[in-house]
Amino acid sequence: MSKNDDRIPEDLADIAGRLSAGKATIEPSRRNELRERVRMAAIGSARSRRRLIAGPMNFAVAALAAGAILTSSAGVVMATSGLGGSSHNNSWWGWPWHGHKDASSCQYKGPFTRTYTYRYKQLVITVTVTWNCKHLKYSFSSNLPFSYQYGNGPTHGFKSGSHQSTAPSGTSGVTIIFGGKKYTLPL
Amino acid sequence: MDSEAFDRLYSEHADGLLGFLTYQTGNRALAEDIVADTFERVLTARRGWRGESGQKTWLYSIAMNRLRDIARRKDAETRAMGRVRTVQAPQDGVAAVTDRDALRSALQDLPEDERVVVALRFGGDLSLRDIADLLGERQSTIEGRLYRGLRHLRSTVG
Repeated sequence: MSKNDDRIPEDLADIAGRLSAGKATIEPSRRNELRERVRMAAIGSARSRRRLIAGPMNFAVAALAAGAILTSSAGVVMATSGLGGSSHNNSWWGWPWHGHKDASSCQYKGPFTRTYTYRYKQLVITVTVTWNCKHLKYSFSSNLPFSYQYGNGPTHGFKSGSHQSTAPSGTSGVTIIFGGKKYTLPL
Repeated sequence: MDSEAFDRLYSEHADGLLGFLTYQTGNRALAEDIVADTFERVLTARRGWRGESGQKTWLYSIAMNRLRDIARRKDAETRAMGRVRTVQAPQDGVAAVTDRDALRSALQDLPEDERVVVALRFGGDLSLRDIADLLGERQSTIEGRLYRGLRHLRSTVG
């Protein structure tokens, strides 16, 4: 205790000594085990982070080669392909719905279908959005559990497979939740 | 953090951290888990030690944050308390083990603000100044808590 800066009163020296003598220590073998455990856990964490960044980057290269419109947001890559409608409305990572969701604009812009693919670790989720000049419809398809939520509404969870849904009118956006992450597409 | 720096930090502080956490939680197994978790965070932290406080203080602040996270989780806390009752100390002398168990048990009955100071001081071997920095308190306040804690312990275990 000499290196410390306290002046233990004499009447407390005995209990202080017992505390110092009784503190837990790590045996050398256990110390090495624990250090390896830390290293392995840290490597696992680093791999997860790299996948979050590099996985989508690899996908980006492939998608660009295929001529897809591709951008990334918060570590998730999204590839899009549009069918029909206008070709000039891709200013914000391909999201075409700004100023597009009313029937009057639809008469000259036409209906619109667009497919977005998210990849995160082993999960691949495809979201097909269709604007039919009246409703915004979503089709979700995923190989792993995911859920989605319109605005602040209830969350709809699915184990995997496909699911179709129509966005309620006036909603602010759809949030897709998977792998502990949330990604919101504003409407 | 590079491997060499990590090894040095681990060698210097793993024992102290385990001593502190064992006294603080009363649970050796849980303490080891938190030691591992603390060093993992050190290795994976995007922003490492920035020299604003001592490296030792920084390390202990990570461990204390982890303790707070655990305390917030009711389930984990309940499990931890369960483990406290079943923890087995190594058989390295009956009298010593009995005294150690009695001390650890008595520590769990101390008020939190006294226990953490006693655990940091005698488990982690931190100086009063380091403890004051870590807890954001004046050194005289820490000293008062330490002595109160020791008196409480003495009255409990004799």
